[in-house]
Amino acid sequence: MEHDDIIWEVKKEAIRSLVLSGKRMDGRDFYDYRPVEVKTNYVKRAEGSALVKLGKTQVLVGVKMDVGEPYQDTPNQGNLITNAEMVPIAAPIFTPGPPDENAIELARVVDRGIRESQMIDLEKLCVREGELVWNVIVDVHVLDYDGNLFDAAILGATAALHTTRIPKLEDDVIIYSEKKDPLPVRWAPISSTFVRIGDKDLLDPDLGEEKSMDGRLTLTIRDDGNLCAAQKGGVCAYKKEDVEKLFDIAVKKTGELRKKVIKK
Amino acid sequence: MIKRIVIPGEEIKARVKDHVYERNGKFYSKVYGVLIEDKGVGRIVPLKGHYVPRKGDIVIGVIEEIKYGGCLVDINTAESAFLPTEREYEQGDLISAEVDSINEVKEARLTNDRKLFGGALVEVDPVKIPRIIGKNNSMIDMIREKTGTKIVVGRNGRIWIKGEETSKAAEAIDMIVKHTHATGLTETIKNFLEGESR
Amino acid sequence: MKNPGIKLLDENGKRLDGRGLKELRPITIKAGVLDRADGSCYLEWGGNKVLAGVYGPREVIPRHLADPLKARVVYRYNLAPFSVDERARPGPSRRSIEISKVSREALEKAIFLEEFPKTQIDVYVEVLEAEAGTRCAALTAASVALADAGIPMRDLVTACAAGKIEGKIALDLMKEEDNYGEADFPIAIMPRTKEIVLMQMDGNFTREELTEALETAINGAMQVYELQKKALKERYKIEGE
Repeated sequence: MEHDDIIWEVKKEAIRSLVLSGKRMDGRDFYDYRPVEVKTNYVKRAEGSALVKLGKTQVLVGVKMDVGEPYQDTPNQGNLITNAEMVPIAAPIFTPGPPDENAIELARVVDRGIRESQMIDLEKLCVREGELVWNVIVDVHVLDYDGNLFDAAILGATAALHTTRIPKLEDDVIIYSEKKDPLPVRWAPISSTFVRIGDKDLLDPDLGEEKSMDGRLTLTIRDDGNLCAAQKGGVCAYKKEDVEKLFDIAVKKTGELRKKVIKK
Repeated sequence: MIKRIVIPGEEIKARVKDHVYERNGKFYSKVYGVLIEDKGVGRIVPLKGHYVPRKGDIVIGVIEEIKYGGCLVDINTAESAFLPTEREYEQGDLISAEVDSINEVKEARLTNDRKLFGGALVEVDPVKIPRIIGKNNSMIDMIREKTGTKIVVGRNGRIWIKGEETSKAAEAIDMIVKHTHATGLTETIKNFLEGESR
Repeated sequence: MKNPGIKLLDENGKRLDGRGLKELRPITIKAGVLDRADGSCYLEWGGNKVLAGVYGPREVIPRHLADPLKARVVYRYNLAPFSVDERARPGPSRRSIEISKVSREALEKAIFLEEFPKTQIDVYVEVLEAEAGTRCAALTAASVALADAGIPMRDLVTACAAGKIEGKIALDLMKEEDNYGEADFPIAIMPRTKEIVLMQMDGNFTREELTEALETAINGAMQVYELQKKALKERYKIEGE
């Protein structure tokens, strides 16, 4: 067992009993996000980027674009590719090497939120049908891990894509120094992740709450209040009514957050 | 008497002690097994299982590793058992022993060890052992008697047989395993053992 | 993926394979089909064929991964290379790693892990032929195989998906509906309490559609549960009833 884990075993009990009595360590209400800060255009060389601070969690999302052949079944659409890396700098438990199941789950949940919201108008990213289309590559870089990477990463991806500018394409050659049109985006999907501790659900868990959780539910919501992606993780169970209740809270909370941080 | 198959999560109305869990005053089976019920009282016999050592069990083990002051013994559990002994065993030796104690992480300590020389080893699902032994040893004694073999039955699903008619005894055990829940099993086995040859 | 060329519902509201909106594909389940595994299950669900095998509880390898308080569960969802149109590269993909993770977590809620400290329970599911809904088929088969292996559990785990096609909530999407429909919503429940232990969704649901999809998927899972139960009850013949 990692040294880190042993300390958490001790802290967990305190966190759990406090939560079960209706309170959180940092005094937040159960359905509040931590303070959020979003800095877009953080990396100038990227076509789009956003540094997200969610409490002490920091995630940097960069968007790069290039051109390539379309997939056979979508000859007139650009492609979206999402990757997430838990770089060792972000926590003592992250080690170098290929992404583990947690990093893969993170990337795939971010990807589904962006893709399924139909946020990007991929048809407008077709250069020549069946021959050449734009690829949009979203890289999530976790810098400081204090819990809830899902919401930070999805928020970062949405903010970065909203400020992405397509580079100039001249004779099929990309001129990265000249950024032109903004990426065609329609929606701003934002997620709410709730951890379950006993019979309590807490929005936007910090690391301690995440370590103490039984499981969690992530709901990604579009501007129109529709659900576009969901993911349950961990060892817990939800009643149908729980899911519906959390959905209603997520719609309200993501709405408030969207108003605050996404500039259109 | 009622006999029926139950599955994990199925409500058990009869009074049953083992292999059930309780939620809000009701009892549910933990395992896939046979519920044998008579006048509101019953027991669940798992159809398959893993050997969980209990104090007093006779088990058959294989010496795995010689340690200072004893040996590690494979007794068909995930964790090896420890046998404190002065005797000079070699890796691979077959022994019978008694479970002396079990610690909180379910590791067993053994005692009363005896080396088993020669013979044959038959392995069966540990849940079948009670049926192979039979009520008051009736089944196993019958096999011993009719085949003239020496048999040691380990609760951990291992049976050691030695004698001329070892294969006939093993065949009888195989029949019990395959027809554990059949009625009239004792009679069937008796007929088989008394038949000249098949 | 939009494909205006394919109509998923005909004028009578029937689906491409003739099913109604809330109908399951045909399912058959057989418990105890492998000789070496401690427990096993073969399951056909529409065009899906999956085989689940369980080994354990057994020694944890490597040993340092052993949990002193409970059993460790390893779940491996594996697509056979020939199970899909375009050959699947052997070995774990990002998709299969994610499916394995959420499926394992669903089973961990059901298994009495604390009864087998320092051991490992391996659950292997081979998808031999795939036609949409493989993760549900795999998890449903896995829980039957676990029961068959004699692993103590609170309940079976039963999976089923709902989805959205042409604006309507439908049960158990087939391949074309999965490709061209508007949402896919696989869940797994513990049937006794109907609690949800696996839930994923991609697509687009309004609040009302989410409620209908939850009801649809849970109802579907309860039908699948009956088949799991039947498979286990029919595996052994009990005399003296």
